[in-house]
Amino acid sequence: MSTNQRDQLKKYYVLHSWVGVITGILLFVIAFTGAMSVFARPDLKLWANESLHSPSKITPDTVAELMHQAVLQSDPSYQAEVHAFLPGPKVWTNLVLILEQDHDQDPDAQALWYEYDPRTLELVKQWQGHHDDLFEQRSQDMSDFISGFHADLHLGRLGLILTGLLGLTLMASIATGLFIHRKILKELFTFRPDRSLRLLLTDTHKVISVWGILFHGMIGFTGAFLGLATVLLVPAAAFVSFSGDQEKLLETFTAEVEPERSGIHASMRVRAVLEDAFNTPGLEPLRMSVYGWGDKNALGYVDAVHQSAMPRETHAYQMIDAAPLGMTTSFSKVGGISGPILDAVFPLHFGNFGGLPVKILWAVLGLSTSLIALTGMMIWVERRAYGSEGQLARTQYLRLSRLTIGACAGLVLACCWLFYLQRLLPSHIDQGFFAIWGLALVWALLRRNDYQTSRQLLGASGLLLVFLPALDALSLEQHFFNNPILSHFNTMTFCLVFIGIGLLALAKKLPTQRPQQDHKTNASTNTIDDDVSDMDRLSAAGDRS
Amino acid sequence: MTKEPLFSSPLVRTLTAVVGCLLVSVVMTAAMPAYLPFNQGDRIAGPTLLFPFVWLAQFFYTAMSRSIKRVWGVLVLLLISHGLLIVWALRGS
Repeated sequence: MSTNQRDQLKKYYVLHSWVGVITGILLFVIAFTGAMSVFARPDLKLWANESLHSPSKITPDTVAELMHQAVLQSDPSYQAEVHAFLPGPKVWTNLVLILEQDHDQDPDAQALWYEYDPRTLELVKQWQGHHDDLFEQRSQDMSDFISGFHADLHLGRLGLILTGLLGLTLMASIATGLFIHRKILKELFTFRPDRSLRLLLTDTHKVISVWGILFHGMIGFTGAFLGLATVLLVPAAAFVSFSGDQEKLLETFTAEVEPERSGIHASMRVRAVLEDAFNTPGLEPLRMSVYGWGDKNALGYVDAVHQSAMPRETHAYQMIDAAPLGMTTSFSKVGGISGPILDAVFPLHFGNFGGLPVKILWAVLGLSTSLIALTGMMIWVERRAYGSEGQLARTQYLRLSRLTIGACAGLVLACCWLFYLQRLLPSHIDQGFFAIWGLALVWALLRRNDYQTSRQLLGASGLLLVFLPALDALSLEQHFFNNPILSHFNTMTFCLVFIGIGLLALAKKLPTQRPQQDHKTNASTNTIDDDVSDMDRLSAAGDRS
Repeated sequence: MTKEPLFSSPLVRTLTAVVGCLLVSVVMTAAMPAYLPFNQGDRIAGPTLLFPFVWLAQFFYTAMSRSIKRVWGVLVLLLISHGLLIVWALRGS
């Protein structure tokens, strides 16, 4: 290898390690919460909401009747858009009806919110206010919290930019990793857990990275796109083509078009439209919207997911006679090559296709992405605290190690605690989550032995999971212990999974201190050529030159 | 003999890779619909899908190029040319 090639390779290595160490903790946080978010809807939502365990009174009849009632008792100006968000484990737990004034014409347009319990059809919440404050009315559960945290860290636009940038840096890490690890096929089958801690870490890092490379690359790309789409990419795309008018861009390419009002009154066939959607095999309606309520030209849209299709579907209807006008996907109007790709981005990112097997695979691969971040951080610290690459005192690197353990194992603990918060303090989920995570972080920073800390934090997480079914027994009417068959299937599965993962975490005997075989001098670790990888050899060569 | 550092001007390079590449990529995403020879949908959505790869290419060029001045030259050229394309497209519309 020429000096020039070696310099290039060293540059890639330095780039790989610095991008990794700067973004490592955040990548772990996003990847771990992402693995949980795969199950956010419907599974976690179903577990979190007892109202979804009982039979629902939601039928085309009842929804249509409530929509007609809501329209009748409100001012006619609120009929520009009438939406019914149907309850279920996919998005909303209660039936929510929203009536809006025309917000395209009037920036001060108001909206009405009616929320009904799906079990009793009793009105549980009513609200009137500015159109912009509408979606703040939606109650949040742990599934919304965790998927929201994964998307934007609950930091709004700044969080979206951060997660988008993280997707970009993940792509950069994968590309640099490919450049420096040229013996990919060999590394697919190289795993030496018993040789030394550093080899265990580097082999784990490489094996997981290489086996899951397509998944990690896809997650990096879709994550970057989803994070930056609304804050940077759509405004940029609208800038030239629509003179900066983002609304116009969205109207041009989204499935739902507002009708030209005729001024002629007509009755709305809501029930017939809903019946058609409910009776379509494999279709699960999530929302119905009517534009131009009461007008002869009014249009209705049913937003739904289909068992056998990847993207969401929007079915359009003429409201005067419930005649179907056809089906479009979210981005089918974009057409060309981009439309199908855009339609696939969201389902691909969250594994929302192919049912439970895909979800399980996505969660496992998501956990592997978080493990790559964690092992990468640990390798970085190991090489500097105990190897030849460190330029600072060992204590500085060990401080970073403690921060990593506190942030990563603390997040796992906080995520397990989230289930308890959902049952015990559902209105303080965010405060409870961040309090436990913060405490774990402080605990890790104060402790000297991060091996013991990680063992304690993971043990505590395991205990929380093992006792979760007991909490269910205390807080739910029907649960795994009093009625395992009749209690909701999802809850029962969760109980078994919780106990299994919890026992696994408790049974896994993590070391209480750094293995002794690695307490060698810098010189000795750098001369075992047989053991070190390409990357080690490269960095050792760099250090010697 | 002093060994040449692996990366020249590391601070400027890092700032360019983080802020500069992002800025130039966003401007390119905005300007690309003006010259891409596709249908309307692909012309507008295509650049947004290409954005991560455009950023990645610029990021690697910024990090790996020997001369930071050359990096600045290329990025400024891309910025000005795409800025002018945006002005031209907006005037045309």
